Amino acid sequence: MTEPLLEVRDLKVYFSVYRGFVQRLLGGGDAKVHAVDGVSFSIAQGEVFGLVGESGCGKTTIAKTLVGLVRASSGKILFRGEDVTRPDRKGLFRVRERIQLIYQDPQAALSPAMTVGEAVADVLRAHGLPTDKGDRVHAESEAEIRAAVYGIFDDVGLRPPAFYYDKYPDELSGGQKQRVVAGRVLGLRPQLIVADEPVAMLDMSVRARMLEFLMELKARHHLTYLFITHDLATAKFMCDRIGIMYLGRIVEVGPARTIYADPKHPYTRALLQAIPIPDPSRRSAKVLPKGEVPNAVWPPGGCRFHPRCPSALPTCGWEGRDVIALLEERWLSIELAAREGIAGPVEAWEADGLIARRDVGTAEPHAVQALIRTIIDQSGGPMAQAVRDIRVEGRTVIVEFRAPEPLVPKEVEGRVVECLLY
Amino acid sequence: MTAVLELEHLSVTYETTQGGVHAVQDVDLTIASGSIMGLVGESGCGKSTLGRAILRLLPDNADMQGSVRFAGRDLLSLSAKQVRDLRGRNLAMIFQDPMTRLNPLMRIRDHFIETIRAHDPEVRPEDALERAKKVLADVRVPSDRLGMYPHELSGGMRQRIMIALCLLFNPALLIADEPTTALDVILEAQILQLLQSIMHEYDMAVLLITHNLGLVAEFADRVAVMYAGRIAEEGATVPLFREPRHPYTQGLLRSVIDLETTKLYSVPGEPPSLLGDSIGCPFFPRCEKRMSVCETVFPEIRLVGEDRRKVACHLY
Amino acid sequence: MADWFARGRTSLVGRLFGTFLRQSRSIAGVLVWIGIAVVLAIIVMALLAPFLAPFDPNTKVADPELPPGGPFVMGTDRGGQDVLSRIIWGSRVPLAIIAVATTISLALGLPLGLLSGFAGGRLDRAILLVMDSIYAFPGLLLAIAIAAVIGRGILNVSFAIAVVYIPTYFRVIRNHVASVKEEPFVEAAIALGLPRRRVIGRYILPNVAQSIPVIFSVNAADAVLTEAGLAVLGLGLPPGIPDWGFDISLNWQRFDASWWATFFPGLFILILTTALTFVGEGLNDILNPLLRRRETKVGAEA
Repeated sequence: MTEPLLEVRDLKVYFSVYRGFVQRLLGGGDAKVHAVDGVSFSIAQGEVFGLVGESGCGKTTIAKTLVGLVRASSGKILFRGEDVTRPDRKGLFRVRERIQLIYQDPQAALSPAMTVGEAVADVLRAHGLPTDKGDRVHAESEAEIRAAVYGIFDDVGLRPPAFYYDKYPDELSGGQKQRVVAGRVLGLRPQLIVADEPVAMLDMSVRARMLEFLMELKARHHLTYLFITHDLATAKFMCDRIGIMYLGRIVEVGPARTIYADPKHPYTRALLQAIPIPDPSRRSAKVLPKGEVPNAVWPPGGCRFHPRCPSALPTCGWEGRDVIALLEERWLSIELAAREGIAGPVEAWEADGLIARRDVGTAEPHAVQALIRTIIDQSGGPMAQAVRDIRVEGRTVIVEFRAPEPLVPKEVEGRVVECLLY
Repeated sequence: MTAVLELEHLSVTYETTQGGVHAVQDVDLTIASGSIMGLVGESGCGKSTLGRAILRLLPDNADMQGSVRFAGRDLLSLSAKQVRDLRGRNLAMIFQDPMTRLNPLMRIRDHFIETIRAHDPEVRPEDALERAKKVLADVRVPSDRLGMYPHELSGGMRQRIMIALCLLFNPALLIADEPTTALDVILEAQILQLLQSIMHEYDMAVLLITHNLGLVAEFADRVAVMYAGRIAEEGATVPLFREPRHPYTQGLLRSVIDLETTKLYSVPGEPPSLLGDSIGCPFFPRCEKRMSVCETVFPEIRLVGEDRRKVACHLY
Repeated sequence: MADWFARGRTSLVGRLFGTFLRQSRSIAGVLVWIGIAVVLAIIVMALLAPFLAPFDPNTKVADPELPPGGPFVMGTDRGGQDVLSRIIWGSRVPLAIIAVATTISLALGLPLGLLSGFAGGRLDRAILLVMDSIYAFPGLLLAIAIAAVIGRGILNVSFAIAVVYIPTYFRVIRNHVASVKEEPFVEAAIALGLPRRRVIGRYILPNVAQSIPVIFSVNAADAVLTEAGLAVLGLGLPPGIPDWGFDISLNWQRFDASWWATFFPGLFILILTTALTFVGEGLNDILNPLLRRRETKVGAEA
């Protein structure tokens, strides 16, 4: 098997959250956003690999890390076998000649005070002109650079190039701007292009054109794409292989056709089901996961998707926080909240890893204990079975869960899934 | 069928240093009470302007003509104060990005209290809070969020709170301008499901403005397709999707990329500039079925087919 | 030429003039033109002083404190010198001070602002601390303090005024740079491997440049007033050089006897300062849309 163009192993990217002085004193330690929390995948030369997920899942962070805008906290990134995880200045310069980024918003990616011709010329001035032999040589004159820019514009379909050279970004349409951005990137003759939602901001009737353009470029310049999107429909069309991300981890990865034909991970299924279909005769009742993507500073334990998963098991990682979420949701109903008042309010409960506890104050602890037991049992489903113990210690009621089973990515029917269902 | 909103010959023109921009031209639209009307189009077609025009939220350089009949009155003829009374009470609007629509310096409960007392100055804060809690329960937001600031909440929660603020006075019509565009697909589906259930409970009509054809197919009862400031086609959702009549609608539906797409299609050309006057059909340069009459004569809306579809096209 | 203007050519200069002309239909635009005209007139007056002034400003040409009339259009002052001539010659000093003081302020404030805004972190905080300390002093007092220390003379006065204004340039530029730095196109430029110097010079600077002319004109106005204030307190220039501010200091105690000797210099200071302010305000309105967005304000992005 030939060596993959790009290989990412257990990549982790954490950001520190700036907490005020007092908070740090009280809260102990810096909070970290686990933007990317152990991601591994590889991309073969010439393929289109899709990284699909909702916002906050870490896909954009991966894009920025690959291009060197963000530093990896740990893990490895190998480009053609060469370690480019934490390059120095020179190394970074060279990485950027091989891996480049196309942005979601082409208007924002271009300086409004500069003509688009100049924007591309700048790159050529900084890196030199690409030669047929594959290396780079610095231009002799401005005329040479301009000619090279014309060549690039011609390549990306901005014809006549001389007309477009002097235009400012706000004089061009969205599609044209995106072509300029692509052209600018091509000036570096990269081997891998990371396209971060390249068509998300374009109108539907224009998207197809842009996607075709990207495929054309790929064929002509022998490119490899890492295609980042939240739109599963576009990903299905464009990508050879895809990885589905959730909260910093890849939950399912494999050939696109396999995954779309038979998605295994519940999150993948949920994503597919949620897509609105432009065919009213096929409206169906959707089973959507509860709640929203939680914040990446304190991701759920065990499988991160477990609090929302419609198919969760008792061993998926239930913890104290889930009890609090349950109470919160249950007591949205005003009458239930009134009837079960002694177990509340929600703020009185404290989560600590696998434990949820509360000091009942003046209430009768055993009554609260019984009520909580009933509530959890009534909630149905895996949480009840995951409870190890609901006990009273002094004036505190404690709900404790069993430790979750460790999550290991497994190969299932041609793709890799990280889910205890398999 | 009672109509909750009737637009007649509505036009909106922006006066700019370069001339008049005809964002909306001669639009007729009727929304039945309790129904969802989907208004689709791409950027620059005028749909957002239309939504704002109904609530008179446009900047000073916008000139509006025609009539907007709501609850028996023409909103365009009302004074600013009368419109303010209606806004938020009988007519409400939610916007695209919930991130910036809430005042970052005010707690959620203050948003509610302020809104309630703006329309009902007599209400005491405690009672206002009770109403807020009820409405929050309907949108499935826990009442402890009342004490928080907007930045402490997630996007989905903020959008629900915006919806809740709109529901306070049981409006007859809710205008939703790209309500889920900034949200992820699962959240989007959740919010729309929520809207659907609320509509039944509150007997509210919704004008759903979006560029997402899938959303409209899933949720709308009727669809109006806008192009270059005009309505190109309008009709009941199921027949319109099954058999689109206007060439633009056909092109638009063909270019949607969904899970079944095997071949890409895009409508050739670019949308026209809305600056200055135009003659003929605005879609003429890009239309695959164009005829010579289309270049010089503007196609009036005609009713076509047994589902009485409104189409602005010379083909019919 | 007209064609060039009319089409608002795509070059930066072309667009500048194009917008300029179009803008003058509005009230703000008219004020800018008035301001520019007045400032130009005063500059011309200063340059052509030897030809315009009827008398030598430093020579006693008549009885002191003669009211306006006859050959002395603005009367004479305490020393018997023609006020008009002193006004004409006296315009040179304020203009010189503006030129030197603003240049120094800009030369120091701009690079520091760029550096501080772009670098961020501790360097930024350190420079900010220094600048804020200077900024905390009331301008006039600081200028007085510096002038008292380094003595008189055009260059010294200019320097004293410049120091007071550096923090303002710095502040505005630094804040603007800090926000532009976060813009996606800056990030894109960095991702493309462009050297830092280039990113600051070509991507950040042009997008913050729009704030400079505004500060400049306010700075200029302020410089005139500060210099006049220094002169009134006897800290400005050595006596003998005609200067509006100095003339006020010379004559204000005799206001009831010869109001014209104080009034006219004061009036001209007012005119110059106001004109500069008009230019500043107008420049802001014009440069903003020029360098950034479309001019057509079309409410919602329908």
